[in-house]
Amino acid sequence: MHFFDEGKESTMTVTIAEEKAEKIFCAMGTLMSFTVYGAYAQEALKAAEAITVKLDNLLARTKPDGEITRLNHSGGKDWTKVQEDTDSVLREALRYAEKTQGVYDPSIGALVDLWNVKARREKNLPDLKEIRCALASCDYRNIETNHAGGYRIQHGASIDLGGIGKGYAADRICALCRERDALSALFSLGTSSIAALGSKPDGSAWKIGLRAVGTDNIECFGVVHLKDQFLSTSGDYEQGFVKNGHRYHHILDKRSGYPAESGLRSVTVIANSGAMSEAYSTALFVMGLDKALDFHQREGEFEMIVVTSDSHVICTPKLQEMFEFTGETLGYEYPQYELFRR
Amino acid sequence: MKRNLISMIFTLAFTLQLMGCNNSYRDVTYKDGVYIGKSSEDDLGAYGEVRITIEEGSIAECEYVTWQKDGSIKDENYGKVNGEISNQDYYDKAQLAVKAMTQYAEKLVEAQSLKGVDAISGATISYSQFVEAVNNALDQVQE
Repeated sequence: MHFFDEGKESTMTVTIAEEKAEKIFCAMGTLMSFTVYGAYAQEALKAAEAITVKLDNLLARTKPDGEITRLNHSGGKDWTKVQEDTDSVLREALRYAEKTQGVYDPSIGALVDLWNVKARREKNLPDLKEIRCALASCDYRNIETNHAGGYRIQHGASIDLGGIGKGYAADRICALCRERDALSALFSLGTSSIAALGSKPDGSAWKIGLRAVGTDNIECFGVVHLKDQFLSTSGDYEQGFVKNGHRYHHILDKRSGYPAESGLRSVTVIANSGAMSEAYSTALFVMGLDKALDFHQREGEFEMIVVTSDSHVICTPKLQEMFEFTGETLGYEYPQYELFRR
Repeated sequence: MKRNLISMIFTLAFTLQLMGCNNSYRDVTYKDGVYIGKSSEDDLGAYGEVRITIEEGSIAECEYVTWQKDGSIKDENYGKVNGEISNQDYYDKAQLAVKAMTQYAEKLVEAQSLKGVDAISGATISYSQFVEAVNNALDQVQE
């Protein structure tokens, strides 16, 4: 912070070190890394951590006392009233499910259990009958709302907010920080969802490295410059298992019942909403390049960087000024596609 | 198998102190010995291995190593964490797993500094790999 000291020479500038509060902790099954700057940094950081832990307890379907667990076991007859946060995230989840025509789907819990819990633990692939049975319940329209905070679940659907919860938490965290006049902060939720609140204390943009796939050390194929925006990455690495020489990753395609084989390695979405960026990064990964580009042209509320299986990097036009490609030596290519002129 | 020890050794007492939680979990009796648990393989065929040493019925040491597919040690380990774990039933297992993430968090910070960036984004880091390894080791030791 700089201020003009009227009592001394008129040219004198005093620099006061910005207060900085940092915390690394565990929530939502992953690693959280929060940094807040400014006079109210400590207070804002505490609020940010508290809301993250609260949302984890509310939204995780593995928590026995969580609201999503309660909803999933509520049967389909009566409306179950949920808290405002649960209501908000469910409304957003249903909105993005509709926009993506169910490619992002929060009712995919049965399929997640089959692949990411049972198959991964036991290393046994689910058979077709099990997959068909799970798929029968996967339809976001099975999550009914009375638009007054009440929900009921039809046809045995199971809600899983793994594809939106961290993004929603990022939105809430930033809102809480603004309320506390903390206007410069960076939040990493498991590295896949990042919230850049304001700019760095020196006024410059936050620099976010995009992790390269398949390197032993942590390398980046590019850097995105962010101010007051959210970034989410979905990739087929980090989580999965190998069976009979084939790797099964954790991003599931509801249309096939299997891990998505869309020809992509990762999708990074930048948007003004954390929930949107997370839900869309998952959906666009499943869609594959062509459909993702069509969706981007149609919706236009976000920008994206896609990495294909052959390590080509594709960046939407409005993002190109904010994106710096650094992947040449890692075997990545950044061709100037004609994709956006069609 | 060539082994180049790079992982840190944590005592449970240290772990508990760091986590800021030292009560409210159940007593578990273990058989003395050294037990090894492995996680599933990741994308590159690497896997995590936890070695837990039990002395006088208690966990004395927990060491986490990540191995490459070719048997060499992967220069990445996970976790510098001092947050909350709400699942008390698996409290000590989860603590060990979370501790195993320490080096990865440090590695991320180091990489960020090296690349001149403020954060690195990629697919979600999951501590399930560590939980799995710890569970596999402790399944062998419970009486």
